[in-house]
Formats: sequence, C-alpha cells, structure tokens
Amino acid sequence: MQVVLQILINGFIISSIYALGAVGFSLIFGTAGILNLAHGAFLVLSAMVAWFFISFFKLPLVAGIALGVLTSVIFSYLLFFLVVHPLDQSKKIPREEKEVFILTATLLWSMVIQGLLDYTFGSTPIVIAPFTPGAVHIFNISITYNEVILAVVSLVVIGLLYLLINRTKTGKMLLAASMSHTGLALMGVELKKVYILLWGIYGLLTGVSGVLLASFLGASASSVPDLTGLSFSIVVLGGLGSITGSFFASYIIGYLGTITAYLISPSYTTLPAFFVLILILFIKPRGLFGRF
Amino acid sequence: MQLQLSRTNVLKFVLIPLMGFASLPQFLSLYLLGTLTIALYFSVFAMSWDLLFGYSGEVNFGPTFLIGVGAYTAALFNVNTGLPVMVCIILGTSVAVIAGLLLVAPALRLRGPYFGLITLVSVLILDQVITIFAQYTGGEIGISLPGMLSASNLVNYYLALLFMVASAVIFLTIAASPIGLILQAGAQDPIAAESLGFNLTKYKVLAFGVSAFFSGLAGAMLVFYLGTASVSMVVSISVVLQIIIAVIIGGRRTIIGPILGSLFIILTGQWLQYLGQLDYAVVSLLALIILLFFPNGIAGMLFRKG
Amino acid sequence: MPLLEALGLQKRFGGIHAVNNVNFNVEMGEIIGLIGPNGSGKSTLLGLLMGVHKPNSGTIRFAGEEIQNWTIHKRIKSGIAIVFQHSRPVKRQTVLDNIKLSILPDRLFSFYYPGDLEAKAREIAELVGLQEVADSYPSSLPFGHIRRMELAKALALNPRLLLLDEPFAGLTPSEITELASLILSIRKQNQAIVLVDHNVKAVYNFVDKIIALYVGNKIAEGKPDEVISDKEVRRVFIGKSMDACDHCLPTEKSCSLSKEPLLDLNIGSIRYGQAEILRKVQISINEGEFVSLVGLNGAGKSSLLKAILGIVGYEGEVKWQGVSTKNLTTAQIVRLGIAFAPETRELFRYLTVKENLALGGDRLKPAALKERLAYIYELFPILKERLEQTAYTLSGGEQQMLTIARAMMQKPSLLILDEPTLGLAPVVLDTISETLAALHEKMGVTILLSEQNIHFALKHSERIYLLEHGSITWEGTADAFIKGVGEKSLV
Repeated sequence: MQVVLQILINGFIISSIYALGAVGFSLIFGTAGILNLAHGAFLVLSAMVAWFFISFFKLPLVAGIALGVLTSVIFSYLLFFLVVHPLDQSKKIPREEKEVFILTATLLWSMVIQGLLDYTFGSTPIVIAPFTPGAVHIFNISITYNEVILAVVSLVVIGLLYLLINRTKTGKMLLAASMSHTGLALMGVELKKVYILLWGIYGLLTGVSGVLLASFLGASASSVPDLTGLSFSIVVLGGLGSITGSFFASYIIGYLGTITAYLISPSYTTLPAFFVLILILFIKPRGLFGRF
Repeated sequence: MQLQLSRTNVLKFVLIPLMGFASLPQFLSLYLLGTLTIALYFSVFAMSWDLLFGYSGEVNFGPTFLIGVGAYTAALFNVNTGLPVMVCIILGTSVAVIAGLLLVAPALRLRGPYFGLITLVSVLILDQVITIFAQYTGGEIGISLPGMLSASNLVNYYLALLFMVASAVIFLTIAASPIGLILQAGAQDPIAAESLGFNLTKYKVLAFGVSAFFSGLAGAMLVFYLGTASVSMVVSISVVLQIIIAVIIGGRRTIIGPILGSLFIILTGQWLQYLGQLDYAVVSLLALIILLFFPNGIAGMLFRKG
Repeated sequence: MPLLEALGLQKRFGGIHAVNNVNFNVEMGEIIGLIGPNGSGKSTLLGLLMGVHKPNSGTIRFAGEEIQNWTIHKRIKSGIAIVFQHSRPVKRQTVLDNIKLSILPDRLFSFYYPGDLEAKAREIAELVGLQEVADSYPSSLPFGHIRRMELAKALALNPRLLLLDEPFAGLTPSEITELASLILSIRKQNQAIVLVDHNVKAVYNFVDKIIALYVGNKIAEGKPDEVISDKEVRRVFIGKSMDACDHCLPTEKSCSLSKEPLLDLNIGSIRYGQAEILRKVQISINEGEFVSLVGLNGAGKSSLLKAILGIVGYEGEVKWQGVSTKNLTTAQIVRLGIAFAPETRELFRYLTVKENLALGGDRLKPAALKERLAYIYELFPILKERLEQTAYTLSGGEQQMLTIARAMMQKPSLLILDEPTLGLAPVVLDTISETLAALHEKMGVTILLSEQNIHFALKHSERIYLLEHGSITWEGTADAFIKGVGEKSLV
C-alpha cells in the first residue's frame, strides 16, 4: 500500500517535470517543424550551470536557477540563429535533404554541449539543493516540501503556457504560425519575430524543466542522450504536433518509469519508455492525438 | 551524378588508392598502423551509413545498433562457446541483419522522422541492455575475447584493407546499379518514384539489410582485431556521431567520401586525445561548421555532385 | 467492359467537398477531357484515380478490378500512368537516367542494368525529340522539354490508361498544337487518355468526349461540341451572356488620373524553375479604382499577385505610392496597406472564425478591433453565425468569405483578391459580388481582382487587363472589353 502511494506521488512529480520539457519540445516541432535532438542537452545544461553558480559562487538558489534558465535560453537562440535558420535558408542543400540535415545538426549541437559539460564537470551526477528542507508525512509516507514545490512549479508553468497560447494574442500568433506561414505574413506579422519568441519560450520551458529535474533526480552529462530519447518517446506517444498529447503522454511515460523503478530496479527507468516508443511506431505512429 | 562501374572509376576509386594503402606499412610506425586499421573498419561503418543516408534519404541515428549487435554477438559466442573466430563472426553478422530487419526495418514504411527516431532509440536500448546484463557482457568495461583475427599487426592491416576494398566495390556496384538509381529517385521525390511503378519500401529494406550486413560484419571483425568488445567502441552515441561526421565531412554519395572522412576522424581523434572529453565537442563543432558551409564534403567538392 | 469505371466518388477536405458523387466511364482507347474552372475538383479526381488520395466513398474499377484502396505503385503496375501538373523530374539524375527509371522493372535484385536498357532509353528520348539533351540535367532544360520528358517517362511504362494533369498549362498556342500532335503520334492504339485542363480550346480539338466539373459535381458529359454549347457549362465558364450585362458600365473616375498611381508595376520576368511564367507586364492602379486582371488559369495571374506581395521573386519594379517594395518582406508590404486574399486562402485551419479575424486585426487597439469586427459582421452576416467554428470545417463559400473578411480587418488601402469565385456555387457568388460592390462604392476601397470568371469581373471593374500566356494582350476599360474582346478569349 505504501509502495503504491509512493509510486503515485513520485510518478506524478516526475511526470509533471517531464511534461514541462515535453511541451516545449512539442511546441518547437508543431510551430517550426523541428525535432530538436539537442533537447536533453539543454535540460542538463541549465541544471549544471545553475548548480555551478549555487555551489561554487554560493549564489542563492533562485538566482542560480535563473542563470541556468538564462543559459538555456541563450543556447536555444544560438541554435536557432547559428544553425537552424542558416540551414533552412541555405541554397547549397537540396530541399528534400534539409530536414535531415537540420536533424543531424541538432544532434551535433547536442554533442558539442554534452562534450563541453563532460569536460567541465566530469561524469559525476550533480543534484541541485532543495528549495526548502523538511517533509510532510501522510499515510506513513513522506513527501519532501521540495518535491511538492517541484510539481507545483511544473504545473504552474505549464498552466501559464496554456494561458499564453490559448488566451493571448501572442499565443494565437504562435498557433497560427504552425498552421500557415504565408497566412501569418499576410496578417502583417514577421515570421522571424514569431520564431524569436518561440525559441525564447522553448529555452525557458526547457531550462526550468532541466533545473527541476536536477533537483528531483540529479543530472549529468551522460544522461543527455537518454533524456532526449525520453522526450521524444513522450512526444511521439502523445502524437507529433499535439501539445495536449505530449502533456498526457508525459504522465503515461512518467508513471511507467516510476513503476519500473520501484518494482524492478531504478536503473531501468528509461527502458520501458523506449519500448513503448517502438511499440507505438509499429502500431499507431500518429500517437494518441497526433496531427501527422 | 550517377556513379558508373566504368574502368576509369574502378581505377580511380579502387586500384590507385589500394596500391597507396598497400605500401603504407613500410613507412608507418606500428602504432599508426594500428590506428589506420581501425580507420579502415570505420570506413565500412561509414559507407554502410551512406547507403541509407546519401542514397536512400533515410538518416539512421543508430548505426551502432547494428554494429554493436554484430560485435557483441560474435564476442559472446566466442567467450561462452568454443566456436572458432570465423564462425562467431558469421553468427554475429547474421544476428545483426535479423535484428535490424525485425526491429528497425518496419519503420521504413513510415513517412516522416519516425525511422530516425526508432534508430536512435534502438541504440539507447542496446546500451542499457548491455549495462544491465553486465555480468554477461562486461558492462561499461567490456569483455576480453580469447580469439583474435591475427597476432601480426601487418596481417591485421592487410586483412582490414582487403575487407574495406571488397566492401567499397560492393557498395559501388549497388550505387551504380538500378537499385542505386531507384533509391535516389525515391529519396528525392517518393511520389514521383512510386508513379513509375516502384515499391520504394522494398528497396529501402534491401539497402537497410545490406547496411546491416556490413555494419555487423565490420563490427564483429573490429572487436576480434581489438581483442575486446566494449560499448565505447561499438555502441555508444559518440561512435554514431563520428560515423555521421565522417560521411558529412568526407562527402555523401561518393563512396570514397566516407573513406576519406573516416580516415580524417580516426586520425584526428588520436591527435585530439590529449583534450580528453573535449575532443567530442571539438569534432562535433567542426562537423557542424562543415555541414553549414560545405554540405557536400571534401569528396563532394572535388567531384561535382548531381 | 469499360476500361475505367468511377462510381459515386466522394472526397472531402474538412468542410470542402472537392469531389461530390462523380460517376464516369472510360472505354479502351478513348480520349476524355475533364474540364472545369479551378476548384472544380479536376485535380483531386485525378489524384483519386492515381492513388494520391483515397476517396471518402465510392469505387474505382480498372479493367474490372476495384482499385480505390491500392497503392500508387500497384496501380502503375496494372497499367495506369500519370504526367503531373507540376513536373517532377528527378533532378540529381540526367534526362537519360530519368527515362531509364521508367523502363526499369520493379525488381528488387537488379544489380545490373539490362544490356539493351541504354539503347531503349535513347530511343524513347528520340521519340520525343530529346536525344540531343539526353545526357543533360533537367535543371538546364527549358520548361517545354521537361514536359516532354515526363510524357516520355509515362508512355514508356506502356500504360493502358494515361492521366495527364494540365499538360498544356504554360504553353503557347503553337506549343500546345505541337504537344497535342506528339501525344497522338506516340500513343498506342488502345491507350486511353484522361486529360485535365481548364483550357477548353486546347482540349476541344483533342478529345473524343468531354466531362465538365463544377464545385466537385459533374455538370455535363458528351461530345465536345455538345458540352461546349451546353448552357450550364457556358454559364460556369464565361458567366452569363455578355449582352445581358447588368451594371458593368461604371462611371469614369477622371480625378484619379492626375495623381500618382497607388500601385505601379513594371515586371520584366517571373520564373518558376525554368518556366518563364510572366514576361514584360506593366500594370498601374489608381486610388479608388476597381481593376480586374482576367485570363485563364496558367496565364500567370496568381504569380503576378504573389510578386506584388513579395511571395515570389521577380525581375523588375513594383512601386507602392512611388516607393519600391522590392526588398520588403511580405509582412512589411502588408503593413503598407495592401491586403491579399490568396487563391489558397491560407486560413488558420484549426482556429475559429473569430480567431482568424482577430489575427487579421492584429495591429488594431482593442476598441478599434471591436468596432472593426462589428463592421465585418455586418458585411458578412454568415460569419457572425459561425464565429466559434474552426475554419477547416466551414464550407467553401464560407471559407472564401472569411478570407476576404480577414483581409478587410486590416483597413487596407488596396485589396487584392485572387480568384475569389473559385469553386463557389452561384448563390455565394452573388453575396461576394454584393460585398465587393459595397466595399468599393461605399467605402472607396481600391480593389485589384484576378478572375477567370469574366462576367464577375466585368460587373465591378472600371478597367481590365487581359493576361494570356504570361503577357498582357489587352488593356482598357470594361466597356471597351465587352465590345472588343468579349467571348472570343475563351472558346
């Protein structure tokens, strides 16, 4: 009974954090058509930078986290301006190969970041200190206050994103951009501005998710590929192009991993997600809510 | 540019480089020869990858799934049974092809990024499985193999060279054949190709099968050359990146491009070793720059590419 | 038994009925022309026959077998071939390699080229007059040659049924005759052809039977002269008779002639790949005018409009109020006060009507936005009813209204409309007609309309430019157009 409750709670927390990252990943794909294989790298990057400022420079937690998130935003923009946008506009690459080149380029970007992180911080996982110490005890199990904060922050940010997309003018522009680029231009809206907004939001979401992840599970350079793999297992399960789908799929994948961790072994958390991905691709590639 | 199996091409791409390579042992240290031997096996990895990427238009983010399965199967057979090295290699290759066709090939019929995703995940899964069953597989450290191809550095070098050349000839034959033409048409415009009556999936599966065969075979041979099977040499994502980089820097769709790229990657890898972990970052950055400014690679710039 | 039977074919895209309960047969060796204005469903129908689309309902029988669920390559192997509207050569390979592809069998283990393949391929190249350029790449060839190559590829497949999608589009009259005789000379005795084109003149002389489509429905079928003289067909293509013209004699607006033109266009050339779509076009529009660009499809109207908006590149000058717009982005051009309702509509499919309109008024302050929306609802009452519906689910006419309404949200100085009557039922046309009249006469909006429905254009326009095969062949007042050119331009 205890174990079930623990699974329910831990599963919820990790799923919410995953959801935050997955939703960003899905947003970029839906609006810009890019599967960012450097996603895991951004998650770990923000976490490690935050940890670095907190542990070495003894900055307060929130300040360190802010710097971590900022780094994620900066590197997102770098990826867009230095890599994705030039490739997209490149006259040297035939149209049908562009997607594949961009995909490969994001993977290379991932390696650059992963290599730098590995070199700077080594392979020992880091953990970001909790927001507050202490825990609450219910039904014989303890939940730390930190864990509650992590889940709440994830959901609040997702909620804010939801409001942004569905209730604001800016959000509608992002949605419109995913439907018709020409249409948006005909409304007098510069597509480049939309992209700048988009990648900024992506950097923000991913940065926060990475930091929260590190607070809950820890992070290291070697977890980069697995995190990327996990993110797109979620996004494919939810259905490419559907942000709502990614949200719900995060909980499926998150719980799957938590159950596996508790009942089998903690070192197996990502494996079931990958098997689910392969299963989905064979049975229903469009996923749960997919548009493609 | 459709490569032709013409006399000039065979001369250019096969005989002259072959003679050059054959004479190298006289000039190089044993250490460098050893590195070169690895680079030759790596060339086969790269050419196999290019068959899918450059010709079929499918990007495989997990060539090391095939390489690793081939390598580890051969290794495990060798360690656990008394089978001779050649038999182990054959078994390893067969399992690689079967595993590839069963798990990965079905994704070829889906349009979109799905094939790429499945290949990436297949590597991640293999990596995890090897780690989990560390007691059998040696985990992160790897396993030592009792058998080996040859004790002589010279023999190993020539064996690798012969293998690489034989593979190159086969890849060239396929590229210059109707299969190559159909694959390229399908890569550029699937509907146009289908409208000419071709069932594209068939050809892509064939290309994948060939790629799986050579990847598995080269992987198995490599570990018997090295004497150990380890994740870092035949499975990890960093190897995937190196293969991709080799083909891009060398030049896709040129057969000789992947060979040049592999030489470049492996040799610079040696020189950059002192940077430690940073060498991945540096090489990836270099590849990214080449991708942006010279997407046709070295060979692509030398031979005008269609 | 007919070679091809199409029964009850239906294809919907969201709220649009592209093909609505279409039935027809093709006999062996018959040549059939499928005509209809843009949006009538011709290309979708071909796509259904080909396997590019799957029908929502209905069957297709080819030589007795039901094929509507077959893959494309299976249909090819059973004897169907297609020449696409927009040529799809394999660009990285030579012309000869392209032709070889059509001769090669779908055999997996083809490691070697059959000995006679090269010779056969060259023979085919010679058949269509391309033997000189057989070793060149498609990108170096003129447009007409690529067409010929595509035709050769399709015929090399030895099909029993050949589908041609707008084979004469973009060709001059002499090129059309040439291509037509080429097709006739190289096709085999019992090869049937289904040919889609909006150029009725070209089709007329070429086919055994014509089928006319309109808004996805078949409206006529029979021998060419029967169909051409059919009243319904004439109305759809040309509009009502030219003589019974209600209010197409607008007053002259001499005051605007003294000012500088609002839009001044002087384009040397527009290309699409190798094809030169437009050649030496000069157009000017003065403030307060209603000008129409008329001509058949393939004449280059859309490309011209897209050039104004910066969506396609061009050689030449486009000046807005005297200033060049050459290096501006589309969004910048729109912000100058030019609104565009494109042929493809470019609606935000999954957003509601209200959201689409709101985006149109994106730059307005909330109070102004509200006022604007109220005004739009007055002009387009049907949209007010559908406010919360997603654009995708609207009918064709409603989508067109939304497109125009969205463009009007921007309070443009110039409203450009590309084929607003595309595939719309007559009732809807009247509403759009009234709306345009209101916009022009009551609000004084300058309008540039591109239409192939000449009657519709004449109802409102003061001046007409006739675009044929990429050049302006006639310009003047609407009045002069009726007297001088009239119906001759179409049939």
